[in-house]
Amino acid sequence: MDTSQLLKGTLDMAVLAVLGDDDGYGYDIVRRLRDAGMPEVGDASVYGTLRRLYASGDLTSYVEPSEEGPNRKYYAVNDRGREHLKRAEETWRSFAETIDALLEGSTR
Amino acid sequence: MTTTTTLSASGYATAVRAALADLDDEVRDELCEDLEAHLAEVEADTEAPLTESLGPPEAYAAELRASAGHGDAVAPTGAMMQFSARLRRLAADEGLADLRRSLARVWPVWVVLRAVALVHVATYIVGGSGLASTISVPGLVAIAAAVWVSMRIEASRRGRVRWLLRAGDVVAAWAALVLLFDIVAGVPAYGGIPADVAADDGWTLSHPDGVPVTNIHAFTADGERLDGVLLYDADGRPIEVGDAQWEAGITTIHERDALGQPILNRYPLRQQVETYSNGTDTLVPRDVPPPQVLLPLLDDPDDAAGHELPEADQLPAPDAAPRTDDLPTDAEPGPGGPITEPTRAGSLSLVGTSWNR
Repeated sequence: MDTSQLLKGTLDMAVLAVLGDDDGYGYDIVRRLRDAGMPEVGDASVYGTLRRLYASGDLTSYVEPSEEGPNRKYYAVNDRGREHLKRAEETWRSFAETIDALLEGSTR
Repeated sequence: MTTTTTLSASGYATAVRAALADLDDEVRDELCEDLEAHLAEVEADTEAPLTESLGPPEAYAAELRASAGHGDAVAPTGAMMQFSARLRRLAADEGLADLRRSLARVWPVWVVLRAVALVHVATYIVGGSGLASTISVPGLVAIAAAVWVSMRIEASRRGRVRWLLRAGDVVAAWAALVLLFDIVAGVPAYGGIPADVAADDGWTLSHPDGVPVTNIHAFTADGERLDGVLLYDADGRPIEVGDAQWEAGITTIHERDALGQPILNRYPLRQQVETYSNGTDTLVPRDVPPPQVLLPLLDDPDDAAGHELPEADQLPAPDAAPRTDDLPTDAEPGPGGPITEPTRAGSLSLVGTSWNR
């Protein structure tokens, strides 16, 4: 199955989860998602998702100077973002359980 | 749409922005806020060109736009839209990016020139006289106001307002051409010479009321007409009346010096007009007769009788008493010759012939 379709619905949750561990800047989040096992995640998708989550009030941001180049914009999850992540997690788990059950039924 | 060329980070960023050109400036700037930082990191991370690690800039832009929740790109449908899409792709080109940077450096000059040009054209609309009105105090105030207003609009982040300003730039470019034309062509006409005379016939000496001086007739104090007088100003420059062609049908024939050059300051100028010859319908050139003039009456008979040009300290006094006795009476119409017909006319004597064209 093409995971890009799955990614579309779950990228918000993935980004919030990564930021829940620790604050991060755009490319850092891209790398952490890839390291976590999502090699096909698109750079632009992550940046766009960050902009949207920030605009909707789930994230806060701050700028820190970088030794290697331009300043980096760091993102952090705020209370609203954590609430968003909690609801998304519940939806995901319930959905995943349903899918698991369906799959188990069909292969039994 | 695929970009196959290898792009630098700035070229890639420009192309991404160009592909997002249909969004409001504010939205696009926000989306691309850390684009350069990102591209720098990717370049540092991988050996491969950006188009390989990130895909074509257009695809990057589409992904950024969709994931940020700004929908799909507005598909260019009409011819105008396709044209502007092509312009945006052109704008992504490296060379054009350089051009844009160069333009940014001279932009302040354009902001001022634009204001001057628009005010200049506006002076015509409100009935002013072009350059003279533009350089006037109200004109300069209007220019300062135009600079301020355009900078306020420029600073506005609203895309539609800025597009309006770009349209204004097109008008201003036209106005700048008008301004340039007026500076090049209009300056000689700017200096008191009646515009209707100067515009068609070049320079001409004129009275304060704007009537051109077409010839100069010199007389001695006792009314003798002088011919072949050479006139110079305080700097020794020849005094010329300029081009008298404004007077239809009159031809000026200049005397020539030994080298064949016309002597332009020799007075009276010999002028001819074409008239019908004695009842026939043949046009023949005829010398323009000298004018009738009123000479001031002088109180010192000796000076006048000498038939000499008065010295500086012997110039006629304003309160001179009338004196006509010694004036020549051999009236003989024609140029160069003394045409005197002394007549008492109040405190002045009338000399010359009347001439009706």
